[in-house]
Amino acid sequence: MKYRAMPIFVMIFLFVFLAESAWSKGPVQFCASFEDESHYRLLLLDEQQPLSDLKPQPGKQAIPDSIDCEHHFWAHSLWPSFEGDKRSNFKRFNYDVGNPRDIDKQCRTNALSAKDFLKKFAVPKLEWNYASIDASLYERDSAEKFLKRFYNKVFTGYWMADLVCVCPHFEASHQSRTIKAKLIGKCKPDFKKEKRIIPESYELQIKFDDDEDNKIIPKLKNPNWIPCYRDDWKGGCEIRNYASKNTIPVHGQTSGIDESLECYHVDGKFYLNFATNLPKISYGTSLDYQPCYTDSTRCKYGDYSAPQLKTPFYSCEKFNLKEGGCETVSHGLDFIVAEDLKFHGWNREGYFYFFRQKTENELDDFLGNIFYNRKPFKEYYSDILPEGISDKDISRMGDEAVRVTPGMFFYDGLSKVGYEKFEKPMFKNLKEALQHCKEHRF
Amino acid sequence: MIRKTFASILFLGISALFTFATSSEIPDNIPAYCITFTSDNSYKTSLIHKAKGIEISRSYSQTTFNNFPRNLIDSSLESNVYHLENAKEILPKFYGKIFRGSQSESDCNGHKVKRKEKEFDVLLVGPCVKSMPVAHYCLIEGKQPILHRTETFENIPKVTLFETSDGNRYSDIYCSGTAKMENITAWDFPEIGKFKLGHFVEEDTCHGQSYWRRNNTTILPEYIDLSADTAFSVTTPQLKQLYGKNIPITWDISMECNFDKVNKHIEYEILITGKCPSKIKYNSKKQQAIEPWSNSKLKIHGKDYDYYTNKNWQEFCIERKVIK
Repeated sequence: MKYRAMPIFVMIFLFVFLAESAWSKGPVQFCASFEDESHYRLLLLDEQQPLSDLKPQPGKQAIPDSIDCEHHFWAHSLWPSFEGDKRSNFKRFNYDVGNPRDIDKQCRTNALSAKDFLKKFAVPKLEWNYASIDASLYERDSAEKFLKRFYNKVFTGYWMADLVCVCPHFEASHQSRTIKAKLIGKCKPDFKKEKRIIPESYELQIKFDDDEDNKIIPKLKNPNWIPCYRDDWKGGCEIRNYASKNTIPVHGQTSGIDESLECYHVDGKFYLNFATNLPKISYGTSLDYQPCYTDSTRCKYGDYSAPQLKTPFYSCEKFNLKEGGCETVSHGLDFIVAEDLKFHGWNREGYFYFFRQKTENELDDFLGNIFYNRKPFKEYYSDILPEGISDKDISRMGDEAVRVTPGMFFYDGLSKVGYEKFEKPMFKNLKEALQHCKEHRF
Repeated sequence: MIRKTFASILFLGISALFTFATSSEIPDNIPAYCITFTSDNSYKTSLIHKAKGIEISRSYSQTTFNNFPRNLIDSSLESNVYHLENAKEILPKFYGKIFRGSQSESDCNGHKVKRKEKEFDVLLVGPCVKSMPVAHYCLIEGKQPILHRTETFENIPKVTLFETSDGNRYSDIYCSGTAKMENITAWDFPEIGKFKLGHFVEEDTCHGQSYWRRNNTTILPEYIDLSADTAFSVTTPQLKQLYGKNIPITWDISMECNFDKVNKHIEYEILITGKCPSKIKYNSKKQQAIEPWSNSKLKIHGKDYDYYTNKNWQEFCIERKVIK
């Protein structure tokens, strides 16, 4: 008799147990309202449901009694399980208080000082704010198509509340509980219409740093300058550089730079090398191994049949496309001056070959070396000065260079025989530097 | 009855948790941070205590964000720098308090992005002080005692040589003619002596135009063979006395560049936790040498190689040596 009654008691017990759990109350019902193709809200169909028995889950985490913040509140949110992980696509700044920019402005205008933080404020009782759930905005591509499969299905919702301080902004306590919810379907057109305002986007406008590239480059007025086009990789052509019929002036301030000087003792004479930021002007038929394409509609990379300059032209590595001229570079042309302090031509490398020739016994060997050298020797002699560089400029740059130089190399012929490190700037002008070079014991 | 007891113990435990948070002890399961003020209106956080289950890595796919007190707009270059008006006045009020932290990991695969998020409590301890260890080392006991690094934290000292006006620590230092860097670290084992790591010297012997890393981090090798410094001798029993204790360290780094010279002296500490687990073995042959070198490039007359011989200037001219 007792044993037969057991299953009945178990059933009664189970029924009572289930009745006490949330399951017996039925899931909370929502409908889906679509803001646009990729945003939706879950709106509570609360009129017919008793929601009072949904209480914050006790004991999960202690709630502090007080908070060091005057403007604070519990920020509520609902997260449906079918959206995957809890917060991935949820726009957290959807707070009742509005736009973060405005929040920050408040902080500043109120000019909060430490005194305001000496007070403690009581943390308000946590009551689940049903209205906040409706304000939750979810992001999901093709939202309507995605949600269709959850219609009339029960899902788990995570009802969360964070204790938020407005100013300064921080989050302290976090509370949550799970609820069983059901998505009935799409909301009727006017249902909770006031909830459908998309909050002002809080994302800062991302400025495109390279707005410059999108601007039309003004055509430069100098008739000697011919624009060279190249593929812009967006389907069109852009001006990449300019070719010139004559040598090109410098754009920017020319100056001697702080590299170590070089003092040469060759054939009983003395020479001094200093470095400048002058860009090298090249003379030839290509720009970085590419032709100068002259048609703004035909510039595909590698299309050698496109209209291009066939006769040699002057060009430089960094042409200022807006204002014209060649930009100064970190290490540019070097100048070698003789004892008369005058520059007679050629770049340092050109002089190197000149000196080498003087020290070689057999001229044939020298010429032979040049031919078999991998680097085209023509390059050394074709470095041309930019337009408008006078002897006066060269002297000035020389004076500038020697005033900042950290040391001096000494070469006997082409062999480096020493280096002198300077503890501080040594020379006032080129003359003093050359004098120092002459006084060295080679 | 049992349930009530259990519940009250749980409640006590939770209250205890909050008590700990305001005292100097850090509970095991909460990541903790110390702060340094970067200006009157900003501060930087450094992780000084890790928690189980919360791996904080600096991979590109994982970001950690802690909801510490801040102004909402005004972002900075780094995620651990917070903008807070009057930070020096306001932040002290929040020392020892718990805040919410979150971590997300993104798995980008074409157009689809899978994200995992985690939320947890974090503790704002207070200002970073010297006694907060920057790393943990355990000891491989035996005839040849070896220290093995088990943990590093975010308060590892970093130094910027020749600070720029824009505060950019990632731009290179440019030197012309003269460039020489020296680096020496000394571990002061209480009542035993000083163990030296260094003296490292890196110099441009060709007097060209060199580029050096501006931001330098202190040397914390994975393994330290304590017999490497011949002027220092220690036994395992001596080191066992230091289990659970901090070792003070001094780091001296200096640089000569053009006509300028700079010297920096930093003091910090590491903790010797105890004996290393037996699975940790030291293989002297497999150990990487310490490479604290900073030079990234050397140019002579604007080129990083010799036109005629094709020699790489940096390889040929940058001299790196260790002075004993």
